This record gives sequence, C-alpha cells and structure tokens, in this order.
Amino acid sequence: MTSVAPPEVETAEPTLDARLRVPSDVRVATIKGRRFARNRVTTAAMILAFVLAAIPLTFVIGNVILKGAGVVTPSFLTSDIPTKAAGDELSGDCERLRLYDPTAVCQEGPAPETKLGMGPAVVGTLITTALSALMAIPLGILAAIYLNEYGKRNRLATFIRFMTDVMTGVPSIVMGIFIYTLWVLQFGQGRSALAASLALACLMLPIVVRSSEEMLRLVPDALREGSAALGARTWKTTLRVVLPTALPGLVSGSMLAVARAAGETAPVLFTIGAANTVAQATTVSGQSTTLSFQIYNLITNGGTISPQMAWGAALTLIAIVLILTTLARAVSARFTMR
Amino acid sequence: MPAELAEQRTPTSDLAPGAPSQAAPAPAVFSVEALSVLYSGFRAVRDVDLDVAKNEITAFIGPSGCGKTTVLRCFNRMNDLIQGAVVEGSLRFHGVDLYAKEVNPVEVRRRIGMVFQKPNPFPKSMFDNVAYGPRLAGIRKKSELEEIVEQALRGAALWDEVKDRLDKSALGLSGGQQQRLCIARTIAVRPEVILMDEPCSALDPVATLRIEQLMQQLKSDYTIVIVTHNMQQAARVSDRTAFFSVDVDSTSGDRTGELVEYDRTEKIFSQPSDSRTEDYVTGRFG
Repeated sequence: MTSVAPPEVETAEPTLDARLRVPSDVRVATIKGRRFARNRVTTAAMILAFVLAAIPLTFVIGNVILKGAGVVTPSFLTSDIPTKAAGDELSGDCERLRLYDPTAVCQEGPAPETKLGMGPAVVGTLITTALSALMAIPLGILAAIYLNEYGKRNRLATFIRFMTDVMTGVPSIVMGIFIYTLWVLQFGQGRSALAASLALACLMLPIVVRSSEEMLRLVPDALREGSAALGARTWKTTLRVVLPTALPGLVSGSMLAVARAAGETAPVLFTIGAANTVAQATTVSGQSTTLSFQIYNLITNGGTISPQMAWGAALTLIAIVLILTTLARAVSARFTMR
Repeated sequence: MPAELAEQRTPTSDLAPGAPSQAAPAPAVFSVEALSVLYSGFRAVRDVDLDVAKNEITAFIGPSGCGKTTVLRCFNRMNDLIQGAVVEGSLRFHGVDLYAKEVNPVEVRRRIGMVFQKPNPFPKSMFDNVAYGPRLAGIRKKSELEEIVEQALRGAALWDEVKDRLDKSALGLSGGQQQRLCIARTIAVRPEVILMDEPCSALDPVATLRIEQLMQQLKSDYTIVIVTHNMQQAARVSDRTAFFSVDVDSTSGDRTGELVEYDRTEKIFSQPSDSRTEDYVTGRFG
C-alpha cells in the first residue's frame, strides 16, 4: 500500500450563491419531487393517526347506542331496580334455580316479565355528581385564584401546585379508600351519597384547580393592569375582569371534572352502600347508588337481563354527561362577551 | 419652527421671570428626586430628578430601554404589580411621598389614571367598560352612570361614533376607537393626572391625530404625562420634554436608563444643552 494521498480532485461543487440563485421564471420548479412526496406521506400519516384515534371512540359510542337504545325508555329511567332479576330469569328452569337457592319456590312455565329500571341510579348519579361538583368546583376555582392571582411563585403556591399534581396522579380507588376509612369508619358516618360525593370531590378537586389555573393564566395581564389603574383592588379585578374573561375556560375545565366524577366507579364502591328504589336513592345522608356502580354490578351478575340493563345504564350515563356539558357551554356562552 | 424659537430662546430668556428651566415650575404636581428603579436587584433607571407642572403635557422621550415607561409607572405605583421591583428616591405628589408607608396604591391609582400602549378594553360592553371605574367608586344608579358614561365618551371624542351601540362589545371597535374608549374609561373616574404610555404606538396616523387633538382638549382639566417613541409627537403635543438615554456600563455591560435633560419642549428640540439630546432629536443618534 502506498502512503501517497489520493490526488486532489477538483470539486465541481457550485458556490453557495449559485445554488441559491433560481431562474426568475416562477414556472421553473425548484422544489424537488421528494418534498412533495414527503408532504403527501406525512399528511396521510396524520389522517391515519386521526382515523385510528377515532375508531375506538366511534366503536364504543356506536356499540353503547346499539345495545342500549332499545333498553332506555322513560320507564327505565324512572323505575326501581328489579331486585330479583336473576331469579326471575331462571324461574322457568327449576333445576338451575335450586342450584342457587334450594328453598326457592319453583314455578313452571315461562318467566314473568321483568320490569327493567335504573331510576335510583339515575337519581343517585345526579345527586352525588351535583354534590361533589358543589364541593370541588368552588373550592378548586378559589384555589386557582389564589395560585394565579395572589400566590404566584411564592413557596405556599409552589407547594400547593406540587401537591395538586400529586393528587391528580392518585388512583381513584385510593380516594374511595380514604373517605371509607376516614368518613365512613373513623367518623362513623356510614355509607351514604354524601360519603360518595366526598370521595368524588377529592378526585375532582385537583383537576379543577389545575385546569382553572391554566385558564386564569390565559387572561392577559393588560386587563389586570387596566383594572388596577382605575383603582381596583386585586379581588375586585379578579371578580369583575379576570373571572368573567376566563369563564368559558373555567366551565370547560369544571365540566371535564364533572364528567370524570359522574363516570367513576372506584371511589363510589365502598362509600355509597346500596339502594334499589328511587325513594331510597333520593337522599344525601342515606345510602344510594350510581349508574357506574350499577354497570359494574350488573356486568358481574351475568344472565341475560343484567347485561341489557348495563348497556342501558351506560347509554344513560353518556347522555347525562353530554347534556350537562352542553348546558354548561350554553350558559357560559350567554355570559361571555367577545 | 426650531429656527424662530431658537431665536427667541436666547440664554437670557431662560432667566426671565416665569421662564421655565430645570428650576421647579410652580405649581408642581409631581416632584421627583433621585428616583431609581430596580428590577430584582438590577438597576433599570437611576437618579431621575424632574417636576411635572399642573395642566401641562409632559413628554418622556428616548431610545428603547432607557426607562421612560419604568419612570412613568412609578407615578401611579404600577410597578408595585411587578414582582421584584424596588423604587428608591422620592416621588412627591402635591408634596406627599407616594411611596410612604401610609399611602395606599389603590388610592394613588384612583387619582392618577393610566392609558396603556396597547388598547386594553375589558371584554365587556362599551358601557360597562366606561362605567367600570365609577362602579368601583360605589356609583350604582343607572341614571348617574349613564350621565358619567356619556360625559366621559364625549370627553374622549367617541360619543358620536358609539352612542347607538353602547351595549355592544368593546372588542368590536377599531384600534383607535378602543384607545379612545380606554381614555374615556380613565377620565370617567375624574383623575387629576393621566399617564399615557405610548398611547398611539399601535394606531395609524389618523387615529394618532385624533388622540393628539384629544390630549390638547384634556389639558385644561388634567395634567398629562406621556411616554412616546415618536419625537414629532412630543414636539407637537407637549409643553415640557424629558429626554432619557441609556448608559451602558463598560465593564459589566449593564444598561441603565438615566434622565439626560428636562426642559421646555421648544428648548429641547431647538437648543438642547446636552449633546446627546441634540444627537437624538436631530436624528443623529447612535
């Protein structure tokens, strides 16, 4: 091998200036075909990603509507939950019924008509959600006001922000256990709609705080200064300028939390007890039930009637959340001036 | 203009009675002595001495970063809203130290209004924008509020343009109209002084002219301090001009604003006593 370096090849590389200069005729294409191809590929990839993301959503909603629409009737929404659904179902099949209950009186013949109903769960869901919203939303928004308008970057605010982040990450069942041990057992308050609401409020609180703080941060400082320059104290500025300006965002954030609470099962599991009639469920201090809890119950029951009712309950739950969100949006739009 | 004025303002005329100079013009609304502002320990502007005279328009001019706005924001204690801002020296409003312990900044701001660089109407109706200050002051009666709003809007030369749509959003107005609405909002609380922080920098020449005319009208009732980047504007509207400049520390590279010269506007623009002022107003800056 010779150690002679390869001869210097005269590079025909054009100068930078020559490479940048293009013909003044705009019809001459200088953008390479590769770039068009890349554009098409990435656009297609984005559309594909969207379609993939939409598939589970449409599938879930479509499935729930398909299976639940036949069940949800006005009577379903208001009637008591049939207690002996499983038993009634088996009443034509004496052998299997005795496996469950040897003393059962066996009636030969077709099963009696079971009146499907979810009334108590609808009432319970509305009550617990409303109660938890009543506790978590004002507290959460007030906390957000402190963080953004008063505390800003001080130690307490930083600490609260950190704790809120931690709380957001706590699994919902832990909230249930917390309220169960503290409120139900320690304070001896027993299971109730209120206990469930407390657990749900614990779950909602960090969501409301963080989303509200984000929304307050979006309000331009120029508005705060304008208000202060007119001789407004901070709380007046907050009340009259910052909150009205941030209202739509605050509503969205709160509704997100409400939707989450309405659909949660875990915090309700140990805290709410049981109720089978609408009269029982129309309570704050007594035991109650919710749609999500019933869905869980019914699915674990088995049989043919229970899953049917579970689908109905699922559709009802989705409808309730949708209606609440739409209502809240409409109300906030009415109070907002753009 | 400068030539003839320069003729009249020979050095001797400065000594004539009533002729203003660095000496305190009576009656002074603000008297500033050795004012410095620090942001988180960094000195943004230092050693400002000036007096602001009643029912005059005082203009602050100077290059970017020279501390004009910072000084202006001391006058109604808006710097209090910025964390880490510290004001040193003395700033007296009718002889009372604005930064004394017993002075409430909220009270200061009710007497000393401010119009900002970017029009900042609240996302409310025009009526509610102008009525905001009076409502804070405890005026609740609709008829009284209507009267105040009309007066303020007339005062800001906006009434005829908006009188039929006072219940519409203020955000639907043009930039110039928004700025006049902000002026109306400021005068609705009957302040004694109006501070204007580059009020025309976001406006076109026509809207600028309207605001300038408005300032001339407001002068009889209010004392006005205006910060402007536009030297012609200072020359057109103001009675006195303060020229600020930036002093760059040769070792640390820190940029600190300072007051170079403060005098009658004609003098600043025709016969400045400091060469830096002359360089700036003649466009030879830099």
